Amino acid sequence: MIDLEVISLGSAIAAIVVNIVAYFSRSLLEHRSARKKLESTQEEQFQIAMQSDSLETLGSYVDDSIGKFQLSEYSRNKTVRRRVDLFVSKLEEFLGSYEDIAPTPSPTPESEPPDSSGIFIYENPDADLRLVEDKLVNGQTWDALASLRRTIEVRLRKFAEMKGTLVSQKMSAGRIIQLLSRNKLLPSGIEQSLKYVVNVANRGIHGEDISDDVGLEAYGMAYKALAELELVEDH
Amino acid sequence: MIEITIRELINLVSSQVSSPEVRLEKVFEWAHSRRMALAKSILTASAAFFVSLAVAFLKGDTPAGVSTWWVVASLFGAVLFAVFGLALLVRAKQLHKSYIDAVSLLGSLQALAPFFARYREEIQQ
Repeated sequence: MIDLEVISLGSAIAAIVVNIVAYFSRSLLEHRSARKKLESTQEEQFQIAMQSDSLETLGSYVDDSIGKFQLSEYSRNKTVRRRVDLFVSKLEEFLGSYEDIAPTPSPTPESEPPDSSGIFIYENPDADLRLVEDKLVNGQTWDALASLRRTIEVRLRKFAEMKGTLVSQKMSAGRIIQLLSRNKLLPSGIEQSLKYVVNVANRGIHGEDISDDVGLEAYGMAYKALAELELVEDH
Repeated sequence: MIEITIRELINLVSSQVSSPEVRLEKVFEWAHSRRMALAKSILTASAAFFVSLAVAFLKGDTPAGVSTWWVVASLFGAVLFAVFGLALLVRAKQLHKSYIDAVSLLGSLQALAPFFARYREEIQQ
């Protein structure tokens, strides 16, 4: 007959071994899971998300890729950490600093209220502005403001290049306006309008609720300012 | 083990709850207390095993009929207990680093809170 003490000792040892095996199995499973999640955040998908002007694309990348990692994985796994930190800092750069979103008063005189009739009176907007218009019409205000800001940034870079002013890749639209203004390359009216539009766009992109009227006003101002900028380019 | 995901951290930040860093600290405190309690109980059990075996050996008090195999197995079990307990202690210490990293990430995410809140609103519509 087997001694009871021996049985209980054997049970205790078996329990220890089972726990240790479970502990290390869990660590191994976690490591595999982290690798699998990393595959879903590959560089290509990351670049697609960061090139996007869509709130849904950026947000869903966070939810479906970055968001799945646990805090323990973020802390222990260098690759996970690097990917998350890179995305967060890119997002911070994209959304802009608090300085960029401090409200700027509209340069529109009170005698000219923004056109809220819903009818766009701007003729032949180019492809970029038409895209902004379509998004505004479809109620995608965030996406419209992101596209509008990118369009302004691209046009200002081109303008700066034409005028022989060096602009770094990391410079935001607001910084480019400041630089051009300092070098007295931007007429005051265009500067004020674009400053206001970029400010509205930054605030909207950062998450502030921008009404349709204000979005429309910003679009109209950008349309006019960019048309005037083209005239300045031609001279 | 802290099983909070980054998505859950973002939810905490975008829900505009007051002092999310205090709540995060509480979660880590609980996890640390649990882990320390478990490590201590396992190390205590291991010590009890060692002490019992040592006393039995020194007294020459090995019970009749108990083979050497069981004594070795008991010793092995005690060592495993000790190793497991120490591993848990090391993991408990790693929680400090995880906490610092989590707080740092929380700080970065707080700056993006309005964006995340906006995104949540849009997908709920």
